[in-house]
Amino acid sequence: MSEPLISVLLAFAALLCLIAIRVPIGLSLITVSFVGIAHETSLRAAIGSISRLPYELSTNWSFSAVPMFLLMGFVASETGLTKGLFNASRALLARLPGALACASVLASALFAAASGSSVATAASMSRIAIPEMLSRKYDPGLACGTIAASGTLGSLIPPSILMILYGVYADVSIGGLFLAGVLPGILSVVIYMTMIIVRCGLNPALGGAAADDEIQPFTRKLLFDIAPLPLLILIVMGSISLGIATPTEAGALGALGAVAIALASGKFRFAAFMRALKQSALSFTAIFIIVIGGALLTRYSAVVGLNRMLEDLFQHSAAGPLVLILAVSVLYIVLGMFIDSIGLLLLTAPLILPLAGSLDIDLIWFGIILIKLLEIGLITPPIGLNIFVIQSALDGQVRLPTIFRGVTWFIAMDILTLAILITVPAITLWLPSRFF
Amino acid sequence: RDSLVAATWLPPTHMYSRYLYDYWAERVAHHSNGTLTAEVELGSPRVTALGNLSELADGLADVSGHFAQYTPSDLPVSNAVEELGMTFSDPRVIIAAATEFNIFDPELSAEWTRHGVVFGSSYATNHYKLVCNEPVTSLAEMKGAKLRLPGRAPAAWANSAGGVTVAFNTNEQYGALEKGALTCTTTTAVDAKARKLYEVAYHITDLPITLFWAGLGHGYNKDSWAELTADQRRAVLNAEADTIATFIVDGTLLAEQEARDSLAEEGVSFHEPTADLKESIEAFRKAQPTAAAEIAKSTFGIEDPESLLDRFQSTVNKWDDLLKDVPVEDKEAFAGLIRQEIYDKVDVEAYGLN
Amino acid sequence: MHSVNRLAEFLARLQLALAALAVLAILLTVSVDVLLRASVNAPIGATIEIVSFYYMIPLVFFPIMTLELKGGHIDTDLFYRLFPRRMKQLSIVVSVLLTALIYLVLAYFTFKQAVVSTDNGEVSMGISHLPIWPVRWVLPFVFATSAVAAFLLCVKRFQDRDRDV
Ligand code: NA
Ligand code: NA
Repeated sequence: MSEPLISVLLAFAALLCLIAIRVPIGLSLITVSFVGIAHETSLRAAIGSISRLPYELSTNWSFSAVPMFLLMGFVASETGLTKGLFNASRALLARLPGALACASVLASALFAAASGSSVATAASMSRIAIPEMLSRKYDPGLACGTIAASGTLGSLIPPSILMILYGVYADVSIGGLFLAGVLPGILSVVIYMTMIIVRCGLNPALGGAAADDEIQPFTRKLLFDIAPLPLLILIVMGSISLGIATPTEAGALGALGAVAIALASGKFRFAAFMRALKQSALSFTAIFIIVIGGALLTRYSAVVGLNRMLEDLFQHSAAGPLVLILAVSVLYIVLGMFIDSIGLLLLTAPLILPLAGSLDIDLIWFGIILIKLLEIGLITPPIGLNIFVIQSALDGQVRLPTIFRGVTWFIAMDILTLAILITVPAITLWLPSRFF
Repeated sequence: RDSLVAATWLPPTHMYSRYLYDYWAERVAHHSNGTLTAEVELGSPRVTALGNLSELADGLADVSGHFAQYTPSDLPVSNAVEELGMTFSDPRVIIAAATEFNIFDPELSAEWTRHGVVFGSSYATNHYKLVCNEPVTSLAEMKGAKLRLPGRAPAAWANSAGGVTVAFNTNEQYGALEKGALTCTTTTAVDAKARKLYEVAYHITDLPITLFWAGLGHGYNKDSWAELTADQRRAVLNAEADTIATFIVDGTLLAEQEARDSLAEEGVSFHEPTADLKESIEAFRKAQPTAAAEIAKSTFGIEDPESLLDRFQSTVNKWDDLLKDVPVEDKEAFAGLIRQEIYDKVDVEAYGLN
Repeated sequence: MHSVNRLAEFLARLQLALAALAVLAILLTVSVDVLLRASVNAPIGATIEIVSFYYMIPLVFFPIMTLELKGGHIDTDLFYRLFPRRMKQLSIVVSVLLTALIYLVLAYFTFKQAVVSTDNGEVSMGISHLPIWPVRWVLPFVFATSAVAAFLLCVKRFQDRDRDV
C-alpha cells in the first residue's frame, strides 16, 4: 500500500475512535485534520489552518441564509404549524391503510417546505406524530422509520441548507437547486406512501389494526391551521422567482414572514420568539462546527494527496458519468454510515465536483442526486443523525435496533427513488429549466 | 528539491489556472531541463481566497497567488498603490511595471519579506466594464441604475455619477441581473462569457472603468525558495517571464477580443458611452492621484504616499515607452523585455534568501 | 466551585443572548435591504460586509460555550453506551482533555491574530472598508471560556454520578 493511503486509513480509524468515545463530531474532525496536516506538511501549517479557517468560513455571506431558514422552521414550529399540518394530513388520509404513517409523510413534506434542515424536520415531527402512532398500536419500527425517513425531505424539498452549501461549493444557482428539489421531493413522498399503504394493506397489524375508529372530517378549522404554509412557500419561492430577493436573502424574508404570520394570527409570544432565536443560533453553531471540521479534513485530504489518487483512479479507468455516479453512490452510502450529511458533503464536494465537471455532468442534477444520497446517510446505522434525534425526542421509549429495523424499508425505497432520478434526469431538471 | 507544489483555489476553467499554473509548469520543466517539476493543483483546498497569503507563508503550498484586495490591512502598500487603478489602461504595461515594482521597490518588497513570501510575478486583469441588462451609456441612464462595483474608487465614481451601489456576491450576480435586482455588474468580457452573463445581460458599455494587479501572480514560500538551487531559481524566473507574456497576450488581451466576438454572436451589444459619461469618469480620474494619496495615508497608513505613488507612476511610464512599438501579439519580444529589464537583474544568489 | 459554575452559566447565557441578537440583526438588516431595494431603490450598499463580519462572527462562535456547558454538540453515544463503566469514565476524561486542549490552542492563536488585527486597524475588503478588528476578539474570548466550560461539564458529570458515568 502507498504511504498516502496508509495515512488516510489511519486518519479514518482515528476519526471513528474519537467519535466512538463521544468526542463531538466537529471536534473529532478538527483534531484528526490538525494531526494529519501537521504530519503531512508542518505544525505551522496545521496551526495556521485551524486558527484561520474557522474565521474565514464564517464570513461567507451565503452561509447567513442557514440561520434564517432555521429560524423560519423554529418560529413555524413554536406557533403550532407542525401540529396543524399533522392534524390536517390525518383528516385528509384517514381512509388509507396505515393512515397515520401516511399522514406523517405528508405533514413532514409540507413542513419541509418551511424548514431548511432534515434534522429539524424530524425533530419537530417526531414529538407530535410518533406518540400518536404508538398510542394507536402502530408497529414502533414503522412509526419511527416513517418520521426518520420523512425528516430527510427537509433537505430535498426547498428551502434546504444542504442545497445552499452545495450551491456555494459547486458555484451553481441556489435558486435553481431549490426548484430542482421539488419534483424529486414529491416523488419520494409518493414512493414512501405507496410502500406504507401496500405493507399495511397486506399486514394490517403494522398499522394498529382497527385503531382508526374515529375518522375526523376535514374541517375549515384544519384548513385555517395550515393556511400559513402556502404563504411561507410563496414568500420564499416567490421572492426568488420574481427576483425580489436572492436565495440567500429569501431566508430572511421567510423568517420575517413566519414572524408576521404569528403576529397576525395572535400566536406570537415574545418568550417563544426569543427561544426560537436562541435555538437557531445553537443549531447553526452545532452545524457550523462540523462545517469547519469538514473544511479542515478536506484540506488534509489535499495535502495527503487523496485528490490526486481519486483523479488518477477516474482518469485511468476512463470512467463515464454513470460509473462516476455509481461510484459516488457507493462511497456516500458507505461513508454516510459514519459521517453526518453536512460533513460528508463538505468533505467530498471538492474532490467529486471537478470530476463531475470534467465529465460534463449537469451540476444541478448531480447536486440533487448527492443530496438524496446524503439523506440516506441520515438514517443508516451506526451513525444516523435523524435516528438519534428521534430517539432523544422519545426519551429512549423505542430501542435503537428497532428504529434501524424500521428504516430499512425506507432505505430500500430511497434507493428505488435514486435509480429513477438517475435514469430520468428530466424529473429533476424540468422545473428549473422553466425558470432559469 | 526536485518538485514544487503550485496550488490555486481558482477552478480549473479559470484563465489563471490555465496560464499561471498549467502553462507555467511546462515552462519550469523546460527551463530547468527537467531538474524541477511543478505539481499543479487547481481548485485546491490547500489555499483559500482570503487566507492565500498566510497559507503560502505557512507552507501549505510552495507556489500560489494572492489578490491583495482581499486583505487590505495585511498589504497596505500594495493596496495603496492600487488606488491608482482607474487611471491606467494597458494590462501589458501594468503587469510588467507591477512585477518590476514589487521586486525592486524597497517599500513594497519589504511588505512581502515581512509576510515570509518571495514575490515571483504579478498578475493583471483587463479593464472592467459595465455589463448591463439595459443600456447604461449616459449620465441620464446611469441615474438610479443598480450597480455592482469591484472596489472603493469605482464605487465612489459611480455614486458621484448617480448610480446606486448594491451588494451581491459573484454567485448571486447572474440571478440578480436576470431578475432586475441589479442593472449592471462590472467585469471583463472574458468573465462575462465564462459566467454566462450574456444570457441575462446583453449590453456592455465600452468604457474602461478600472483594472487590478495588486498582490501575487506567483509568490513562493520562503523556505521552499531557499531549498532550490541557484540554477533552479533562475529557471523558475525564466519560466515567470514566459508566463507573464503568454498570460497577458493570449490569456488576457487576445482572449478578451475573442470573448467580445463570441459575445457579439450571442447577441450582446457593445455601446459607445456618451460624452457626458466619459467626461464624468475623466474628471474622476484626474482627481484620483490626489485622492489616492489621501487614502493611502488615512486608510493604509503610508507615511509618504506621494513618493510611493510617484515611484510607481514612473515605472509605469518607463514600460509605456518600452512597449510603445512592440506589437500586442509579439509574446517573444515582450518576454524578452521582461527578462532584460526585470528578471536578469535579479541576483538569484541573494533574492528572497534573507 | 459553586461560584465558578454560576459565573460560567452567566457567561454562557450572555454569549448566547448576543448570538440570538445577531440572528435578529441578520433578519432585520437583510429584510430592510431587500425591501428598500425593491421599493425606493435605495439599498444598504454594505449589507454583505455588515452581515458577514459584524453578525456572522458573533453568531457562529458565541453559542459554543453553551454547547460545551450543556453537552449540546452533535455527537453520538451509539458505541459509548455499550462501554463498561470504567471505559466510560476514561472516555469522558480523554474527550474533555482533547476538547479543552483544542480550545486552548485556538484561544492562543486567535488571540495573537486579534492583537495583530488591532495593531493594523484591520478593515474589510470590498467597497466600504469597514473596521473589522473588533470582531477578531470574539474568537479568543469564546475559545478561552469554552475550554473552561468543557472542563466544568466533565467535573459535573463525575459529581452527579449520572447513569452515563
Ligand atoms: Na426544506
Ligand atoms: Na448514517
